[in-house]
Parts: sequence; C-alpha cells; structure tokens
Amino acid sequence: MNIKTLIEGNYVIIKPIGEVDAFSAIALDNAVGDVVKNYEQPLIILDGSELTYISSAGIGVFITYLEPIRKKKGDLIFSGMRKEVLYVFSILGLDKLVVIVENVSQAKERLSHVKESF
Amino acid sequence: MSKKVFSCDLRNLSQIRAFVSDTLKEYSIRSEIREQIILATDEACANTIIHSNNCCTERFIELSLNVIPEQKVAIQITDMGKKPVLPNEIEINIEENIRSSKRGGMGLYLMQEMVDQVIRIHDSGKNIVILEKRLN
Repeated sequence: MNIKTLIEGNYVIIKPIGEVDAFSAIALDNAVGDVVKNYEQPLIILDGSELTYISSAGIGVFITYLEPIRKKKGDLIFSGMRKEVLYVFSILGLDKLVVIVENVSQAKERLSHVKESF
Repeated sequence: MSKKVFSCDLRNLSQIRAFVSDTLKEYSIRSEIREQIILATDEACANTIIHSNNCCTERFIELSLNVIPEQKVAIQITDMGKKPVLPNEIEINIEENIRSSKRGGMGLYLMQEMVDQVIRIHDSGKNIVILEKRLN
C-alpha cells in the first residue's frame, strides 16, 4: 500500500493506494496522525478511489482520529469509496456516522462549510 | 485441502489473503462470499499473530482450507502461541468507540459477521480457530 498526501489550500487529501491491513495500517495511522497533530483545524479528505481493501485495523485509524479532529473543529470526509470498502463501513455502522461523498470536489464543497464555521 | 504455513509477521497478511483468494478462485464461489471469507481469515490471522504470538517471526501459523463445492468452506488456523483471552459476547458500539478513540473489538466482530460459525479449540498447547461459511 502506498499513501499520497496532497495539500490543497486548507485541505489535506490523503489517498491510500492498495490494501490496508494490520501491517499497512501503521502507515495510514502516521499519515492521518501527522495532519491531526500539525493542523489547527484538520480538514481531511480521505480519497478512497484506489483503496481496494480494508480490515478492522484500517477502520481503527479513522475511529482513533475522528474525535480529536472534531475537537479541533475539523472534519474527516470520505470520498470515492469503493463498494468493497463501503461494505466494511456498513457492517460496523461507520457509514452512518461519517460523511461519505462521491468525489474529492464534493468533499471540498462539504469541508468549505466546516471551514467557514471555524 | 490446501495448506500453507506462514511466520507470525504482519507483513505476511497480504500473502495469506492471496493464498485464500487463489484457492477459492478454483471453485465457483460468488465474489462477495469470497471477499467475506478473505476478510474473516485476515482478521483471525492478524489477531493470532498479534495477541497469541506477539508478532514473533520465529513462530508460525498454519492455514488449511477445505472447500466442499456448493456446500461450505472451512478454514482452520492453528498456532502454538498463548491461549487467547476472549470476551463472552462480541458486540461493538461504534459511536462509543469514536467517542473514546478506542479501536478494540472490531476485528473479532467483523470476523464473526463474515462467516456462519467460528469454532475455537485449545488443545495440547495448540490454538485452533475454524471459520465456516456456507455456500448454499
């Protein structure tokens, strides 16, 4: 699994490419954790368009950082998720508790409202 | 029956998934069912490697897959590590997990949800987990 991190204005786009399991989740944890630690208001888009598999360890990364992100008045939005990954979200009920949009543009639109309210 | 041994290294999880996937592809099994079995196996092996064997690469887990076409798939994971301590009930409250930034319990829950039966045996120092999935 590779991770691309792209900073676009106020937003950080994190794009995992490949499969996230208990081994590769460490890299994802570092990528998300760095943004949460270093940004006053973390506005993160998780671009899942090339994320082909996720196990509980990968989901655990999001679970760990959602509350710290929200405490900083930021948000973590999921975009372009594949059906295999969305299925895991739905089994755990996570799909009901986070914002999931079709693509990065929609995610930026949603995050612009979060930014305005800061 | 297909059988393979892996060292207790989390880096091997991708090979474990490939082994299960390649074996199941020899049979006429729907891709959704195949993906559920792969996820359950991944979760079971990750748990075994981390919690029973402390990621010690000199220890091993053995995977065996038995497919009865159009009836069931049984995956057996055997190791000689520490006997796992498991909760009586495996339920999760994802909202509470988010509130407390707590990751625990999701792997066991996913494993349980992905297959029809999880059987655990501890015998003569061996831990055995059997995951059964009906195909009909």
